[in-house]
Parts: sequence; C-alpha cells; structure tokens
Amino acid sequence: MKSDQIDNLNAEYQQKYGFADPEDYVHKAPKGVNHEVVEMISRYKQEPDWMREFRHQAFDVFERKPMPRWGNNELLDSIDFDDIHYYIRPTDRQATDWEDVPDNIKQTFEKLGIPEAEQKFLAGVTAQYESEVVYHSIREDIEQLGVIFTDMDSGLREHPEIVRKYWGTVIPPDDNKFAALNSAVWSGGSFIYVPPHTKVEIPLQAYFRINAENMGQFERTLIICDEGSEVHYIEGCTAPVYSTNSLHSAVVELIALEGAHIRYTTIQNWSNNIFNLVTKRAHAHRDAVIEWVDGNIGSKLTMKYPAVYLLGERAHGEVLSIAYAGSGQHQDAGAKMIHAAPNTTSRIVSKSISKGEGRTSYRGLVKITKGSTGCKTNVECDALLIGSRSRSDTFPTMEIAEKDVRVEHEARVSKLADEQLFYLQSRGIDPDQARLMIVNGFIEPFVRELPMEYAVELNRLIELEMEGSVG
Amino acid sequence: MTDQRRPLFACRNLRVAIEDKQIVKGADLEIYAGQKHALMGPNGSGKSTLAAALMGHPAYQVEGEILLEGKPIQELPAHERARLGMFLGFQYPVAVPGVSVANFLRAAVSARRGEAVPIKEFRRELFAGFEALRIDRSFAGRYLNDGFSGGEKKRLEILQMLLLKPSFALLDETDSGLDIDALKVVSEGVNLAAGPHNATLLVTHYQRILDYVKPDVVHVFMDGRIVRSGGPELAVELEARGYDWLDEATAIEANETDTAAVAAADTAAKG
Amino acid sequence: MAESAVLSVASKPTVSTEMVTALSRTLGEHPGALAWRLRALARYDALTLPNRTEQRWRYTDPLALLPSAEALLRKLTSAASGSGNETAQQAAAEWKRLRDDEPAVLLMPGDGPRLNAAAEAAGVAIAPLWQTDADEELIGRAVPAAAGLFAALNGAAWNAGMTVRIPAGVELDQPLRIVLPAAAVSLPRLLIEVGPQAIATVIEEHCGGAAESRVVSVTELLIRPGARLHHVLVQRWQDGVHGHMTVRGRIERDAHFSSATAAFGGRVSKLDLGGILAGAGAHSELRGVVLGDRRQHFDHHTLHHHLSGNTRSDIDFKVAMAGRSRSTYTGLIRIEPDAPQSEAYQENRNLLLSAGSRADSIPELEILTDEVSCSHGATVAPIDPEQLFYLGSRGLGTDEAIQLIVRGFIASVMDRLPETVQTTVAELVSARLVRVTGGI
Repeated sequence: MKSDQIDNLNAEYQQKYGFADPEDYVHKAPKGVNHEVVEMISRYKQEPDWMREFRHQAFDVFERKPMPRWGNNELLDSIDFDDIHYYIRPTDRQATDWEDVPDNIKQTFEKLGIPEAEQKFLAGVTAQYESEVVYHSIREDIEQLGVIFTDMDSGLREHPEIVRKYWGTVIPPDDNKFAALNSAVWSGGSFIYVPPHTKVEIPLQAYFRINAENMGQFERTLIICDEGSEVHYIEGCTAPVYSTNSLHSAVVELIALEGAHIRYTTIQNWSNNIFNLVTKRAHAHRDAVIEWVDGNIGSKLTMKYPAVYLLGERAHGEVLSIAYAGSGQHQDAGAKMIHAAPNTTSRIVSKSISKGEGRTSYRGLVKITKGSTGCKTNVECDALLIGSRSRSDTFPTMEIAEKDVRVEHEARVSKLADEQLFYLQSRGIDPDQARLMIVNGFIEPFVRELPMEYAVELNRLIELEMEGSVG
Repeated sequence: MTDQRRPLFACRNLRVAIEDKQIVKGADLEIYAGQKHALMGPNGSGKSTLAAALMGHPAYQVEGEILLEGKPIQELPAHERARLGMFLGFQYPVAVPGVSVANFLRAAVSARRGEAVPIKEFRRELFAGFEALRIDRSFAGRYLNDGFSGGEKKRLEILQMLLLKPSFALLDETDSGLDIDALKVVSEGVNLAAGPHNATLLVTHYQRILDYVKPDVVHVFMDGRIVRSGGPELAVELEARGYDWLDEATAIEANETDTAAVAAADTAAKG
Repeated sequence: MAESAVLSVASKPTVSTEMVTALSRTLGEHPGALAWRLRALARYDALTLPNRTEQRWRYTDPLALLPSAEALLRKLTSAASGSGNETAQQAAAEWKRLRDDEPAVLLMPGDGPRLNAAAEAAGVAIAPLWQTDADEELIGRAVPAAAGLFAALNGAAWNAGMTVRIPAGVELDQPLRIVLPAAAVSLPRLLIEVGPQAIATVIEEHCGGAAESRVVSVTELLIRPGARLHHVLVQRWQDGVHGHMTVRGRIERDAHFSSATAAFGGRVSKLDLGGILAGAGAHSELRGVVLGDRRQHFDHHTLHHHLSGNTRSDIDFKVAMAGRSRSTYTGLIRIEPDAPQSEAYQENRNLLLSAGSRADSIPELEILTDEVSCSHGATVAPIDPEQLFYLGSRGLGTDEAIQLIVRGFIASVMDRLPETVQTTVAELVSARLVRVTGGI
C-alpha cells in the first residue's frame, strides 16, 4: 500500500475526528484481561450476582473459543488481547446537562456536533466516552410516553426485571469469541424499552467515542420494542488516530414483539486503527419489522453481519448496508436472515466500494427452515472497484430446506465505468468530482434511508475519503 | 465580436484510431460562428467515433489538430473542452443511477461558468428549459438517464445544451429514435440555442431533422473521410438517392467541384 | 430399490508405500510414475480430513466419500495381482450395451481401450497412464496431488489410468467416449491433452457400481493454445454409489473449454469441477444439470480461476430436486490482480419439486482487480403453480406438466450439449423425470 495515501487519509480524518484529549480518568484498568479484571468491573458497577456470574462464565467461554477462521486471519491474529485496556471510567458521574460534562470531554462532543444535533432533531442522546456513558438525556414528552432510554448500566440497576428477562437471549455468550468477550467485560451501551402501541416519532441516538490508546470498548445494547410499537435508534462512532490498535467489540440485541418496528442505523466511522468486531442480532416476532441500516466507512477491520431471526409469521427483515474500504482497510460485512416461520420476508441490499488497496467482503446467510412456507427473500450485492489493486469478495450462503419459497440472489462487481466518467466530463465536470458523483449515486439508495442530517454527514465523509482519488 | 476570418471550430487532418484500428482517416472541418453544419453518412462510417474523439473520449488515439476559437484543444481532457464551450449531445446517453438530474446539471452549469450557480437562479433556468422543451418538472428529481425512454434521453441532452450555452455544439444522431413530435421539440431546441456567436454540427444518418434545422453546409462522411461537401440541396439528394451513388471516384471529384459551394456558404456566413 | 443409508468410514484410510509400489509394478508403469505416486502419498499422509467449517465441505462429510482401508487394500492388491477384477466384467457388459454405431469409443478399464478407425487415422493416441516418461510433463498440471485429500489419494493410488492425446490441428467430428464403471473401489485417472488448434469432444461417463461402491476420480484436461474441448460428464451411477470426482481444465491462450455435467445417480456424489484460465483469450463455460430424487445427496463445486487477463468465463448450473434429495452448489470465481479485462458470469438456479427436498447455494466472488465485469445470480423456488395451472388448462396432467416445466428449466444447458450426446442425455433425463414425477 502507498504510505503517503494512508497518511493523507489519516491527515483528513485527524482534522475532523482524530484529535485526542489528554487523559484525566477516574479509573483506568491495567492492560490485559482475566477473571480478576472481570470481577473488578462487576464490583465497580455494584452489579447483582447473576450478572457477575454471567460475566465469569462468559469469560471462560472466551478463553475456550478459538478465533474464527473464515475471515481475515492475518489481521485477526494481530490482535494482542494482553495489550488492551478493558475498562476505563472517564468521569465519576453521568451528566444530564452538557454543562456538567467535564470540559475536555464536552468539547470533544461539541466538535462532533452532538449537542447541536440533539437540540435540532433527536428525542434522546447518550454519549459514551471510553467505557462509560458520560452524558444522557431524553426528551420529557418521550419519557412521559413510558419509553425507557438509558445507558445499559443504569438499565440494569433501574429495570432489572426487563433486563434479566431478555439479556443474552438473542446473542448468548457462546455465540462467538467476541460476543463472549463482550459478555465478560461489557460496559455502557444503551437500554431501550418502548411500551405497547407507542410510536417514537423522532430518533434516539447514541454516540460512541474511543479516546485512549490501546482501548477496548465493549458496549452492550438491548432494545425491546413491545407490541405494535416503533422506534428508530441511531449510533455513530469515532476515535483518534493512533499508531497502535484499539478494539471495539459490541453486542447488540433487538427484540421486536408482535407488530413492532425497530430501525437501527449505524454510521461507523472509526479511525483506521480500530478493530471493529461486532455481533448484532434481532428477534422479529409475528408481523414485526426489523431494519438494520448499516454504514461502515472507518476501522482497520470490520467484521459485522447484522442478523434477523424471523420467528413469527409475516415478520419482515431488512439489511441495507454500505461499506467503504480505502487502502489498509478491510470491511468484512454482510447480513443474516433466518426464516423460521411461514410467510416471512426479507431483503438485503449491500453496496460496497473498494478504493486503492482497500478490500470489501460481503458475507451473508439466508436460511429457510423446514416448514417455513411462503417465505420470500431477495439479496442484491453491488460492488464498485476503484483502482487495479482494489479487491471485492462476495460470499453468500443460501440454505433452503422448504419448497414453497422464493429465494433470489444477485451480485455484480464492476469498475467505476469509463463511459459514465466521460459523459460527466463532457459536461465540464472534472474527473475527481465526476468520480465522487458516481460514488454518491451508487450509495444513494442507502443515503436516502438516513435522516437528512446524517445523509449530509455521510456524503461529506465519502467526499473526504474520495479526495485526490487515484483511479 | 469573434474574429470573422477565423473559424469558430476546425479540425485538420484528423485521424482517429481505437485499438490500432483506424476509424477516421483524415477529416477536415471549418465551421464559422452563426453556422449550422450537417455531417451525414451511412451507419458504420465512423461518424460517432469522430464526434466522441472531438469531445476527447480517452479510448481513442487521435492525431491531427482540433481548434476551438483558434485554440488547439486536442490535448485537453473532455471536461476542459466542455468548460471552453464545447458540447456533445450523445447518441446513447449513459445512465448514472443515484445522481439526480438537478444535482448533475447544477454541477455542470457551475463548471461551465467557473463559479457556483445560486440554487434559486439555477432552478429558474432549469424550469425555463423544461418549459421550452415541454419536459415535466419531475425530471429534476429523476436519476440521470436512468430508466429514461429514448425520447426522454434526447430531450434531456438538448436541455443540457440550452443550459450550458456552448459556443460549439456537436449533436450525435440526436434525431434517431424520435417520433415526429419529439423530433419537433428537439429541433426547436437546437434552433433556440443557435445564434450568431455559436455554431452547431449535426451528425445524422437521416435527412429528416434537416427539415426542421436548416444546415448551411452538408458534409458526407464515408469510410472515415469527408467525401463530399455542399449546400442543403446535398442532403435532399442523399435522401432521394441514398449513399451508394457516392462511390469513391465520384466523391473525390465532387469534393473538388463543390469547394466553390462551400466557399459561397462560408462567405454568406461571414457576411 | 430400497433407499440406502449413508455409510461413512471412521477415518481416512491408510495407504502404505508397499501397496503403492506393488500397484505401480503390476500396472507396468514407467519408473517415474512410482516416484510421483510416492510424493502424492506423502501429501496424502500429511493432509488431515477437510475441515467441515469450510464452505466447500460444510454440507458433505468427506468420510462418506472415502473407501474403507480394508476395501482399498483389497482393491489395490487385486489390481496388483491382476486377477479377480470385477471391473473387467462390468466394463465388458457396458461395452456390449453401447450401440454398434457408437463413434470413436474408448473404454476403460478392462478389456483394453479401443479407438475407431477415424480416430486412429487422425492420430489420436491412447495409452495406459504413464507407460512412457512423456506423461511426466503433463501429469499434475491441472490437478496437482497437493490440491486436496482426494486428489492426493487418487494421485497415490489410481488403479486405472489413461492418457489421451489429440494431436495439434486435428478436428474430430465424433466424440471420444470414455466409460468408467464403478467397482467396489475405483480410483480412475484420466489425462487428456488437446493439442494446439485441435478440436475434440470427450464424453466421460460414470456408471455402474453398487451400494458399497466408492469412487475417487481425477480428470486432467490440458487445452493447448487455440484448441477447443467440449467435455461432457455424465454421472449415472447405480443408487448406492458414493463418489468424489475432480475435473480440471487448464485453458491456454485463445483456447476454449466447454464443459457440460449431467448428474443423476449415486447416493452421495460430489464433483469438484473447474477451469483455470491460464492464457489471454481463454474462454471457459461450465454448464450443469442435476436431477435428484429419493435421498440422493449432490454436492457440486465449480471454480473459475482467472490467472490471465482478457479471459472469459460463464457458468450455468440448473438443479432440480425431488423426493428427499438434497443439493449443494458452491461456486467460486477468482480473478487475480494480474488478470484485468476479465469477464465472469455465474448462474445457479434451483427448482424444488417436493416438500422434503432442499437446495443450498453459495456462489462466491473473489475479485482482486478493477478492470473486470463480473456478476452472479442464484435462485431457489418451487414450480410456479400458475405455470401448472396454465398447462393444466391446456389439458396437460400434473406429471406431464412438471416434466415439461423441468425440461424448460434445464433447456439452456441441454441445448448447448454437443449434438452427438444430446440423445443419450435426453434419454437419461426422461427416465429420471418419469421416476421423479412418480415419486413426488
């Protein structure tokens, strides 16, 4: 890879997101993870015994489980679990007013535009810094509807009965090595409960920020949308640019009860030294709808395959994703749809862009169990390659054990088309702008699904990445 | 005013090859401000190659000289030619999914003018253009040429020409595949855009469009060469007799005898 | 016929140096062959069973495809002693079965391969594998012993091998037909070289066998510059056979490989089929028809590996499953960084005819450069009830209508078969369709 390209890219990111604050933490665990660290985190948080035991059992699973061997082994093997801080508490209490957030942290989020966005168009915000949520608020009118939106630790303290009922039911710790690690050392994340027949019309947002070097962020999010309810949750993430690597390994569990509708939007813009290994899965009951809108722009290696288990009749699942990989990046992303009930439907639309020496992989699974008649599923993968050393993989799997179904999968890989470039150029548009225009057009079906402010931000991010684009 | 003795557009001994195959074997053109020329020829004669090469398509190897207002442009990439005032109306406009007509055109108009056009002003111009070409306003939000019918694509090409105000417009088979109503609209657009300070070259297979757009000079292009040039009556003759009678021998002869007619037309244009 | 259960062995069968040495001597091979076999054996010993978490082995147990150590030992020593060869009898029976007007016919193993007069006159040469050192240059070029466990096993212990050479510039009007009857254990190996600018059609027909039969075959196809090879693989084993077949075409500059697979038989059948596009202008097409019923298990893997730029590949695999049969299709297209201007297409369509049938599809792309045009599509669906209704309204019974629809479904593959084999394959399709519609 051309190091100057990476330098440029990092320089751009540095300006906008890559600044680091001086560390002034209340508690910073030493590097490495073992039962003592797990115990320390749990005691620090004064958790109930069942959670403490859950953590220790999960840690055993983590130690026992091998690394996944089907992905980018070289990068995965470069993770040094002993060189990571597993818990950092940046402040001694959570603020509900930005004025109460320590200045340096507040400035960070101001630079990222969070307080401004909150005022303009959000129903609630949590802001996580390292391991803990440092700011949290929810609009009063939303709270009065009975909607619970807190950080996960507070959720566990304040709503133990709901948390315990659903915790780990969608993603058990033994699902994979990183889910196990998260289960052992989790901290922060969001907890949302929407009571029956309640529509949260405006989005709730969480923002995740890693600041320290060699940091591991392990937030845990649990969203339960009760019968006939609706919620849209958005998360964003950034980190400073360091020469050493950090690990972000979240677990996100969604439960949409009968007729509920959850939309979960992610704009992942980690710096290029972050391993982003995330397990996201949803249960969709009868007539429920789950939508994962997943944008992966940053990170060194992302492995993330948002899943929907369609458990009740007529449930519907969607994954709409884009991935952008520049030199030094591998976006291994995809989707899983498990049709375990009749007349369930799903749709996956994946768009990826590989530029320079970047690599994108689509990895997907569509499974229809026996007896799930009348299911329909449609998968479309579109990969755009920019540069002769760019790489795109498509690894879809379809396992169909039922006859009365309709399964369609299509994938295309193509270069940025010279004919499109010439057409735009013949109208006076210079090649860089023309390329950007084509790329923006390529991801438009994704951007269309975002709230306006995020659409603008995403287009800007892509512009940043495409600048000085070498064909 | 432009220099009256200098052609607005010219190419000299232009040869165009693709993958070592010679398509255009030496073409000369001189087009003056205020003129409309027609380049006619049978299918496969290399007309579209000539048009794309004049606009700077990177797939072609071009030798010879291309002059726009006296300035050699053969080394310039397509977008710089466009900014200098050249326009190519494509025979098969390519689709760019996800890019809306309005966003694209605003970027193009801004590029041509060298400064960002304010949104309000742009919308006014865009909608005026829509009206002139009887295009529905919903076009603004549609993706560029994506899922457009043949007629819609051609109207959009003409609309772009009206908005970009080129000094030299090159229209490649803009009339093909159009029904008579669409043809009238497109022709009106071409006539609307034409003025004393710009010039148009219509590349066409049929004489049909020339009923609506009156050319000053007609060139016959066959096997990579201009084999004959003359006044509008040449188009009528081609319509009646086809291209076969213009075999190479008569063509060369004709080329010489008709130089006078071309000169006369040129003088008329300058006058 | 009763449905047979899948019989798997407990572990990878051991093969000894002594067994291989005796086998090579008895077959009268050139000394180079033994050295090559022993290298393959070392590979085989070093390789563990394929990992079931790998995409290519997720759906089929390798242990169901391997012979037991005892059966293998029995087979190899009987071949080595040159007696009690039941394959010879089977081969003779197959030989009689073939029509008299059958064009250029080769038969192996058994009572000696034969060529018809036209093929002989054209200079086609056939010989048992590696009787001369000329084969040293060719063997392993398309399927090296290191390719995998099954390639290594066959490389160490093939018990019936044949080389076919079609000289440069020769155009064979009639197909060469190679019949490979399954014995208790069969390890056939074919090496076919189509010389520069030559044109040939080769039919590889796997047939026969019984409940205990295990087949591990390897076919290497070397397609020299400008040559055209049409390869037709017909798998019509008896019901109980378990087999693993490897077929690779190595396609050189401006050469053309057109492969058609028609798979009907066996209990567990896995085919690893591929084209290696090794020279500019190379073109490869892989087509397949798979018709399964009862408890048959089919596993088809295709590979198109673009090593060179300006190459084209195309895949069209049609699968129709009835009864409680199961099909897995995995296909990989890989375009290397040094293979720009490549085009690759892949289509896998699956038709499920019964409630108990299932189909898995994993079409994969690994594209390492941008100057390419590449796409794939896969579908799984039942017969459209609207089609059945429409045909019914025109007087066709359900069975008849289903047969018609399946024929339509596989037409894109059937139409591309060389004329000379169309009838044979069409008869097999018809027979299977009658059985299938009876069994829905």
